[in-house]
Amino acid sequence: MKIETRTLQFDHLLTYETELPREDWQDGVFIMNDVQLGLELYKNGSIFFSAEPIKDNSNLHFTYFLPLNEEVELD
Amino acid sequence: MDEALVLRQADQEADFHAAYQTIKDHAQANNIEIEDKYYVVLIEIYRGYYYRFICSFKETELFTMIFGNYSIAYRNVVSKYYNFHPDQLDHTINSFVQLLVENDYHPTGNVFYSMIIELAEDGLMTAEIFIPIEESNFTNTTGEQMFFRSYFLIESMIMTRVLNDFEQKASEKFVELHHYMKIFI
Repeated sequence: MKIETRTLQFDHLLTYETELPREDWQDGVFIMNDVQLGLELYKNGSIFFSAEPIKDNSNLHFTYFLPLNEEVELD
Repeated sequence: MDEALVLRQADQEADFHAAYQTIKDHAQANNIEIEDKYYVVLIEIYRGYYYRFICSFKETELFTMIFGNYSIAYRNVVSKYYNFHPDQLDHTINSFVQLLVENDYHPTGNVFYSMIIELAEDGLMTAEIFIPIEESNFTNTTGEQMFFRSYFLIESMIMTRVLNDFEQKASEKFVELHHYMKIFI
């Protein structure tokens, strides 16, 4: 398996943060999949997430990202 | 639908049946065999709809060249919004490529665009043009508004192709895709 150096860069992302047991990582993906977008707003990339250990807690801090075609203001 | 008879502004006829009869008469007078199934396309205008009446020729398949469940995926995609005259598409793409090259980026040779406003009153269209580059890192120092994403993916698309005569045929195909969506999606 080849490992290479790259950057990860996006301009418009919708994010969702939560703490979950590691095995429940898919819960956040389901939530992001259910996000309803408007007519001229659409998903233009794969959903991805970051995971970070929490001190003295077996859960992980997850941040889920949903790439969008343009900027959006949340209500 | 590859070949069809179209009656524009069919709402001037008494009803659907009268519109169908008008087309049938025309077909008969011209020795054209048409299918029994017909399509009515509603076109939205300010205070309601007017409709277009379409009968397809016999033995032609409906929307033969439109495919569903298509997706596009690229890595390292830069995009920029442009207003331009439809004839200037090539020129506009070239100037975007030039802008990237001048800033030491290397376009991979692919390009695609998304129509934001098809044709405004001033005859200009607005589109977001997307160009994948070889670099995975993008820093915009130009002062021009550009966007970059490491991964680009659009799923669940309908797709059709054109060969040659791109500028003319692209807009025809665009209308075809619209009709397809109205009828089937």
